[in-house]
Amino acid sequence: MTEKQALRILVVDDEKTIRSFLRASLSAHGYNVFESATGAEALEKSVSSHPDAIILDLGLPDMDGIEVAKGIRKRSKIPIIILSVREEAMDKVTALDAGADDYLTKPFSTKELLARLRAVMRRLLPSNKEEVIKVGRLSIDIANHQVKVNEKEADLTPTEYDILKLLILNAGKVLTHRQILQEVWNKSEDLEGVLHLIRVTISNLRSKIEPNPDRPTHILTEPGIGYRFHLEN
Amino acid sequence: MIIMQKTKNIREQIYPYLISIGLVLIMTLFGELVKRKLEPTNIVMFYLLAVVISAIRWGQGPAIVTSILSVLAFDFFLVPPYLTLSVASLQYIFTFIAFLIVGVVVSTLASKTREQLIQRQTEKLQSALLNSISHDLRTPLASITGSLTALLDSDSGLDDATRKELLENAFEESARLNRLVGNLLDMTIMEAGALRISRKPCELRDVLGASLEQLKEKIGPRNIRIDIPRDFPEVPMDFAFMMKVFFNLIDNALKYSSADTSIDIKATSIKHDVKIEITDQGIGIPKGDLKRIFEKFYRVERPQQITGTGLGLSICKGIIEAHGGQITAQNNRDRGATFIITIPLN
Repeated sequence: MTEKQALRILVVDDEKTIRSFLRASLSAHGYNVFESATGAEALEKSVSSHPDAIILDLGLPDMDGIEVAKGIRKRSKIPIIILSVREEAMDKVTALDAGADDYLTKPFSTKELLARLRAVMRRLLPSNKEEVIKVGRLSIDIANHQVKVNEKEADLTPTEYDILKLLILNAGKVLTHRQILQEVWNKSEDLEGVLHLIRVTISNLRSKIEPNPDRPTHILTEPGIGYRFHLEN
Repeated sequence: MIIMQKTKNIREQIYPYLISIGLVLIMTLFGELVKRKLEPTNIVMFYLLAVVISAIRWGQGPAIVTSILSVLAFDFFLVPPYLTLSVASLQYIFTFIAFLIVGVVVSTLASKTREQLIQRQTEKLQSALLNSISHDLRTPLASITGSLTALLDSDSGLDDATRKELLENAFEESARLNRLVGNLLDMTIMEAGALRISRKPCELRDVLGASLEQLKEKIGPRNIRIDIPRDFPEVPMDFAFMMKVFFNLIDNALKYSSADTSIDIKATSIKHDVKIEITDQGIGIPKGDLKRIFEKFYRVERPQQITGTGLGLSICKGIIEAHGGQITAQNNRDRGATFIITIPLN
């Protein structure tokens, strides 16, 4: 299932061989690939080459990739997928809070990258924000605040509904605990103290919409980071 | 077989004690100057300062030596009757004992603080090293994994040229990974003090020739000028390890200079040493980095296309020092850098 509408991808990495296999693989799947090897060039090309998504390495020679992500986020909402050898949860949270959509640890397979790319790009498609979103046996009517599982209306609390809506509208993207807290509870301070609020709500939500709440297939946990809504089957 | 000499370590161990003795001497001279104006019990404070300095700087051992020497010097020179260890007034005995106790306590406290500081620095350094190693190992691995998974992806329909490029990618990066692992291994052996070199008389030409052969592809059409006098003596060295040294240095020279410049290798023998200079006409070494480039994992700010492990030069240094020699770097007057190796002939 490839998307053949020649979406434009900007690949930012200082390693030539990494750019080269990304170009090969992305072009073969119908993407139009642009490259840059430095942060400054990436910031410039993120405007001039009108990319639809950016694949961004964190370890750039001239500046930290986090700064590049922040710089891009100031003016644009294009999906950013971070590549990095750093694998601590803290590093991922920092990148996601800086506005990145997803985070992939090197080494990774091109298949994994393509899947993540499709997921973040799906948000770009003229989305059914006012209509009914259907995922498997789940359907969400955004306009009418209605969630159905197997055609039966699920009884969600307003908070559960807010989280589900937030996750679905950002399907494919990892949302950090801080981002969820900010959007749903409108709180930004004291993350540790209210982390359990998110956990409990997610757990209740799963028991209402997941076929098997112990092995969720829609709302996936990113350990130490946050949650992601999974659209693909 | 020569095992890396420990003499340097011993010199480093004695040095703090010598400085401590020097400190006590300085305090005694100072005490001599003011002993008619100050009570001897006040002069004791200067000695206490010496104890604190050596405790913070070098730890407990030198500090305790400083304490004992201070009491002896104080008694001998500054407490009447002068120039004898006998004491006129009993109160000085209490001063001595109090000083010794205070000296030991202060030195223990100060050296503990110092140890904690060192430990914290070591931990920081270790985690920086680990990060650096993990970055250096994962980057080529990422290229290999990426290239191979792109090739394995049956949906992709890559053309032949791209397939070849990806295979070459994977091959090149495997070689890079192999070099890195080799360097890390060498480094570990060196750190453990287990580097065993066997010095046998070698023709410098042969060693250089073998290194150049390994670098054949990278050198390509580039001009490498070798200047070795006809009567140049055979040098006692470990062929395989010296090959690594020349490989690293010439590889660096190639990397940091443009393709149209030449690289000069010049050998001279001076009395009991031989000197080998490798000169490029490249971008040179940033001034502040000249000393640090031999530290492991240290890398200068460099153009983005130049890759490296940050280990090559520190390995060179380890090998040359195991030969009893020295390696230094300097910038040329016009452009580029020169690495100078000296190796003793005996």
